[in-house]
Amino acid sequence: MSESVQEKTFDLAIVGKLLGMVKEFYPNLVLAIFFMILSALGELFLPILIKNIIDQVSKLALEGRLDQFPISDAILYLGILVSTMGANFLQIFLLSLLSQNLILKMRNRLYIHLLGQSMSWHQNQRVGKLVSALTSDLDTLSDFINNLISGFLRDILLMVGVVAVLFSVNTSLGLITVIAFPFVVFLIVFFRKQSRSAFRRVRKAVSSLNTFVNEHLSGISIIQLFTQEEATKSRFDTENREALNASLGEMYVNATFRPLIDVILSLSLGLIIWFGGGMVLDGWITLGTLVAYIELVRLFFRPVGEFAEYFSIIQSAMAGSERVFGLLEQHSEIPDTGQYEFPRDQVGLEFQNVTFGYVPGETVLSDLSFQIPPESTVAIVGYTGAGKTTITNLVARFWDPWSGRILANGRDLRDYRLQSLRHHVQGVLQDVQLFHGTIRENVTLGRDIDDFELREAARRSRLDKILERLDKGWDTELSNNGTNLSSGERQLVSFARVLCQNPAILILDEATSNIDSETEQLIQEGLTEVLRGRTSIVIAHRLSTIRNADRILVLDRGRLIEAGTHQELLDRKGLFYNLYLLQFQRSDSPTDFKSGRQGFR
Amino acid sequence: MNQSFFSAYKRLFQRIKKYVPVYLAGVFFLVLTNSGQLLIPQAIRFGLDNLEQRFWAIVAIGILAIVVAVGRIGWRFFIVGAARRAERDLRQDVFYHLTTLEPQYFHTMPVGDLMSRLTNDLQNVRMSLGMSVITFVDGTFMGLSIIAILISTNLLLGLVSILPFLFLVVIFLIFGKKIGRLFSDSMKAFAKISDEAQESLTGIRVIQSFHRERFFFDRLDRAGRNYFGIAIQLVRIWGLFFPLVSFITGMTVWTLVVFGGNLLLQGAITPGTFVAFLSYLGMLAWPMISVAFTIDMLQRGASSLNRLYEILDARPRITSAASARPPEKSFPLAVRNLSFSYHPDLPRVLEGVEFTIDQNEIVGILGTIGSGKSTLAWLLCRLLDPPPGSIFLGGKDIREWPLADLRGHFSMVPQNPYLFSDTVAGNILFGNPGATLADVEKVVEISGLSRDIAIFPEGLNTLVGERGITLSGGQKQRVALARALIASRDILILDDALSAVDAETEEHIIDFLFRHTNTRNIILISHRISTLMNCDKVLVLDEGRLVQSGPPIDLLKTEGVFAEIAAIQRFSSEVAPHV
Repeated sequence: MSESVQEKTFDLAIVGKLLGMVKEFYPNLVLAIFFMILSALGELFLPILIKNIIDQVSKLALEGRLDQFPISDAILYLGILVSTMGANFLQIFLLSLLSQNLILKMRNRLYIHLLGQSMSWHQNQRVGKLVSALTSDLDTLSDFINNLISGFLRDILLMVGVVAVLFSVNTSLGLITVIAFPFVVFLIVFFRKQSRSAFRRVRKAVSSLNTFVNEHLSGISIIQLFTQEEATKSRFDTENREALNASLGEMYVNATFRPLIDVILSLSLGLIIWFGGGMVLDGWITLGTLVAYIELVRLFFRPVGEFAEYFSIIQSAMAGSERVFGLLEQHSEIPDTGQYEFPRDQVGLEFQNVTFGYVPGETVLSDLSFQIPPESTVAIVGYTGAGKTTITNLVARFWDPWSGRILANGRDLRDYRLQSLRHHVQGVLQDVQLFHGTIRENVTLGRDIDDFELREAARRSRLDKILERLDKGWDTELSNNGTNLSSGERQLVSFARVLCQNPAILILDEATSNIDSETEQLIQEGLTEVLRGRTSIVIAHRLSTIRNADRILVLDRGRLIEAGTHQELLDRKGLFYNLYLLQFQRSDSPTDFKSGRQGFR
Repeated sequence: MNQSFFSAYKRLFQRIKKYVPVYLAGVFFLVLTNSGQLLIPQAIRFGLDNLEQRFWAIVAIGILAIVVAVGRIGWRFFIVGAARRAERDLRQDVFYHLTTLEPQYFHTMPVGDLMSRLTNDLQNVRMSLGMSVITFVDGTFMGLSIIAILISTNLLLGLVSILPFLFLVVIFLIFGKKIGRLFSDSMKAFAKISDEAQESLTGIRVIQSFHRERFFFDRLDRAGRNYFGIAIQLVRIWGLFFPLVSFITGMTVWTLVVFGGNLLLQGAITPGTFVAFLSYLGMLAWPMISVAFTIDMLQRGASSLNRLYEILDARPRITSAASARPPEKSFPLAVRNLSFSYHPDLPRVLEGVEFTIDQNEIVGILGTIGSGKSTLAWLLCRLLDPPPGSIFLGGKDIREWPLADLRGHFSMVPQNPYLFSDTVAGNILFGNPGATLADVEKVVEISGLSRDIAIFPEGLNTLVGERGITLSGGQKQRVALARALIASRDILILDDALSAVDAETEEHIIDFLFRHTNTRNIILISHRISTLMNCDKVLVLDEGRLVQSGPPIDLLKTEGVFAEIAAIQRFSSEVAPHV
């Protein structure tokens, strides 16, 4: 909602790129421009025809031939009228077809591009910005094309045409019309500046108001809990008042512009009647010519008011396209040059002197080396920020190491096809992401998975317990991100999703929050079976996991400081032992702890 | 236009009565504008028919042009201004009313829906208050005057040249509905694209790790093609609209030329009249079209108004009793046979729960997911409404308390901490806007936030982003804790409030909290046995029933849920290395 005001002046390079995108629609574009010119010519020609008819009628009247109405001109007029309407419609239709096709194509291209960018790129993006690039930014293109061709170009053509016709028929009347023009241009320029800053203020105020309202309605329970209703209302009033004042300010600017243009139009009309009338009297021009003039002057001034609008639309479209092309030009894909298929099972992993960080200069893992033999389970423990999650990010190749290598069965991960690697390396993350659609769709993600495998995955992840409780079972519809499930249930769905894939390497980030001990135990039971016969890395938060692991790695600030089995580490009496003791002492002697507190009260 | 149409506007009129004089001023200027516009062709006619005296015609046109300009500026100021002020008033009414509604209401009416009513619907109402008043006056006054002038000048010519416009109005009335429907379809289709993109880009990691780019691409592509189809369908009809208007205007001119030309030929009308007719017909197009627009706008406005009234008519379910007066004392907090379900058709979340909390007691609550812990917390401070006679504070049913006084006894850290896009300090002060900086520093200390704030770029003045997005889960929870502490209420409820904080830090905070707070009662909802061991008393909830209660040491020794969970946690418990 917090879009900043976006403006950019006309940029030929961007127009060129846009044109490049619509190559296959060139015939369409040429045809649309052709019909646009046709309709403009038609509109120009009509007043001339009227002039002819009136002049002929006056002439006939002078000659006393009252019964001979110029019928052929009348029919011609009708014909031009109908074809102008047809041409006008066709150009609008063809342009819409063109712009909608362009939008569809650009959106798909941009979307594919975004889906292919690396996680490190995505981490630095605001989703809202990307979404608006895919929607509103692209949508400005349709306004742009329509306004540029059916609006701006057509109106320019008409105005030039009017001036040409005027001069060709009578130079002095042409001059009179043109005299008013500089005033109008001055007005437009002046108005545009005013209007832009007024509009900017409105956008800002409205977006701020909407954000405020949205946020405070979402947090209504907090407001009521702390009985801050009155304070909230008064802050709302401030926002609401600014929105009103900004919108009134914009109205004041707009309300004065159009009437001023109209004054100029009327004054030109007056001038034309003054001079033109004199010319008619002196017999220089005919009455028909004067009538045609009046019509042409109307035609000339009609679009003037629109120009300010065209400019702002073209500007925002330029800014929108620039953002879209800007995104398309950013390349941060994980290089996918590997040739080999990732092994299906019996995968051993090895980290060789891996150094890595997310931000240059901030090392997260330094010179890390360890091995995971095929089908063994390794538990990683360490404080927050020790680099545990980073290891999973590197194994699934969401990031590549700065230096050092990660090998799977002796071959650098980068030598495998990315798709094949990701298929066989799967992580269960703490942050669960679900999508709207059924539970089945959320588990399969559109993959072809037969019912047997699905049921098996549901059983092993204990999702079946949840499905039993739901009326529609697998076909239960989830809302965006599955918010109609509890967080524990959501975790099970995402677990089942991974198990369906039957990965060769499983990375498990043990979730702690929001799951009650019983559900947790259910998952634990299933896990033993899941981990059997699979190479797995578990970021451990539980003692049972650590006990069952074949090997434990203790990380501290990106370095491996201890490694071994549970018993070995305990015997070593290092960091692991200390932490282990600390925790165990606490849960074994809660009474001491409590009495300690009471002593202070 | 049915009953609800008129009642909607009748009700609106009651609210915006005070703007009637402003509207009248606006209508005056609008009529002034219209009159000026109507007189200009007369001046042209005079000038053309009396070329020698055309100077006066030009003077007249100049004066009229200025009158028209002044009129236009005037009506915009008054009518558009009044409409926008009315919009502000209505927005304020709705927002004020929403703050009185219970949180439950926002589940039946999601915030997204409310927002669309407060933006799109409010805009429709504004349009019907501004534009439609203008188009109505324009359409009736201008339209009828022009028709009257044309007919009175020359009956036959007038009638014949108006004919094509009637055709236009009929066409518009026929297609108007379909166009309206297509417009709303296209808006929905557009929103669908945005939803798809939002969701998949948020879940980009899942998509990439399962290599399902194709699947999600197809989803967006489908949404895009659907929008494309509707847009093209729309342009097939809507694209004809403006060409058709030009055509009809052209037709009237043609009719005028064919019939009027003959009359001109016969000397029945003057050249000036002919040109005046031409001008009038040019002016007639928009008033005629605006008739159709006005009807459409008013209908939309009415249905939008009704959507807003739906909000305004929602009765607050949780209110102070009529003669509510707070009792002298505010202890104990007693729960008597409390049963609760969110909806009569839904199973009970709480079933016959009974307990008492005395002054200075620290009470823990343990329970599985869905056992009703959070529901209980919300019922205690009446964010949810308990049945009468089930919860008592200071011996008085909390439903009999004045609401603000009751809530003044509670503060809570909810399970999902909700922060506003303000600074850290702003969020903490929300709990008690009158607190001093020293107070803030104290609660920051107790909540274990000092170290985090030292790292924040702007310290306490760091902006936390929308809903606290820039903070980690644990930081958000601790800011929410600080906010609850600064409110300094008698009873503090911590609803699994430190789940994202590692065990050691949690112990530290709880320990610190027990030592330093002036809060007399703490209700601690937690999954962690180690945390609950600090309480005087623990209540164990299972599927809405209170299955165990007593001092935690006793519970540990008794067979039951508490001891079971303690056993699970001891053997698979969160080991020392923290997340």
